[in-house]
Amino acid sequence: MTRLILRCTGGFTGPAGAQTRSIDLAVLAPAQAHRLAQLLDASQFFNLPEQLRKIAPQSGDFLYDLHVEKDGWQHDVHYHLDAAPVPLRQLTEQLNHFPPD
Amino acid sequence: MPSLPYHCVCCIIPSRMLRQLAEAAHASPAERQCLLDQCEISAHLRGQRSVMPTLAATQHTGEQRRTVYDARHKTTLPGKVVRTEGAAAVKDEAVNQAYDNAGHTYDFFHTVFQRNSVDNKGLRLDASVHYQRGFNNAFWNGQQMVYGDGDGKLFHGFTAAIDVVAHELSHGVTQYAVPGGLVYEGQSGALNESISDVMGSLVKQWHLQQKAAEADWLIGDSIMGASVGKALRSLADPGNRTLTWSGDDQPKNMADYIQDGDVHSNSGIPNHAFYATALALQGHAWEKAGPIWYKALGLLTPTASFADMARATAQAAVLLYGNDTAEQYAVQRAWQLVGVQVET
Repeated sequence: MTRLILRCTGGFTGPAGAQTRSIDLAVLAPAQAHRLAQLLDASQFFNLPEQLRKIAPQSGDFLYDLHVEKDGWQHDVHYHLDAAPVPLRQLTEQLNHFPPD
Repeated sequence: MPSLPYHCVCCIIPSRMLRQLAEAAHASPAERQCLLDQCEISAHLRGQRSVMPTLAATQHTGEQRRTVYDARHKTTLPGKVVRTEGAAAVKDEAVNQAYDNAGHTYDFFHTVFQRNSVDNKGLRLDASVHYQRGFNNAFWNGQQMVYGDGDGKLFHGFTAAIDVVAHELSHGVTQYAVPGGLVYEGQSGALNESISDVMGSLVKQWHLQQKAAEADWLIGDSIMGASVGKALRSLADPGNRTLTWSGDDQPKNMADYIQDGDVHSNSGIPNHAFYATALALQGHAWEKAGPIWYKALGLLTPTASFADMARATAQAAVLLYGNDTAEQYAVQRAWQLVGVQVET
């Protein structure tokens, strides 16, 4: 079982406009689930520090919180995209294509 | 997709430098591809243009030149051109609103502050509408404005509100007017937000020709769903949820400052200082209080604190109106009201 919850804040609305996307890989098409699982593994998500903050962020830098539950493990990372490893950025892009909760 | 080496991540290196590194003679093909991948992914995820066409975005025209694009509910920017400067209105109301409100904002900065666009060198004003699907936000990505349509429940389309458009364009002004820009975290981030709220409110008041005492001092009052609230923020009474929305946690005094709080929360303190200054000086807020705040931008540094802003606005008041003037005292009293010590 792998479940991902992505929360994004920033822009004009800040916390008022925060949008959350919850994705359970078990209910996705196999190819899509496989793609996301690959990116999750490539990002070494469970080894990432809890904070990946950009130095000197600007107003267009959104803040992401990604919570992942997988096989009894769970981990949270709070990050700016520019401070995230490439696979995590790609994973974020893929997750952003899902409709908000 | 193959796993990329972790050491390839360059967290703080700007895209331009990444491209230069990729083009360097000593870079191996693999390193070159990795660096270019980082530029492209970062640019795409920030909703920026693809790597190559950025030159067009930074052209200086020396006159107002608006271009509105349709992102077609995707994240790739800018999208398809749908209206250019001087062209007739189109059927899509979001396009016309983005165009018109960018024009009002340009006119405000030009007329009131004699500023030629965002960079004071005539930077063209680009905006993309219909970003993502149900996107509850708007933002300035360092090069252009980007607007969502809202989800129809919490928020409606963001282009309809002149203060939203002016707020986002003012992030661009801050980027250029404050030497080095204002870092978007902590107190400097809250100042960045506050300056955009102040300018957003000023543009709205200027457009409506309202005096400070007549204005509503609300931000985002026409984009929120009725079930959520009436507005996003109030400069007159930050944190007053009867004026705004149920989650408004903005402080209006340093006694209530939120440590490690969101920049959209602590901005209530400098927002209220501006409001108090404008009310004390009476008349139109853009005639005295506005120029003081605008002039202060050039006196700030990227990590400026609220105290730095208090000092900068006090200095700006002296530069514009002289020592021992009503304007200088109004600024000092306003910052004292919100609990920020003014050191001169």
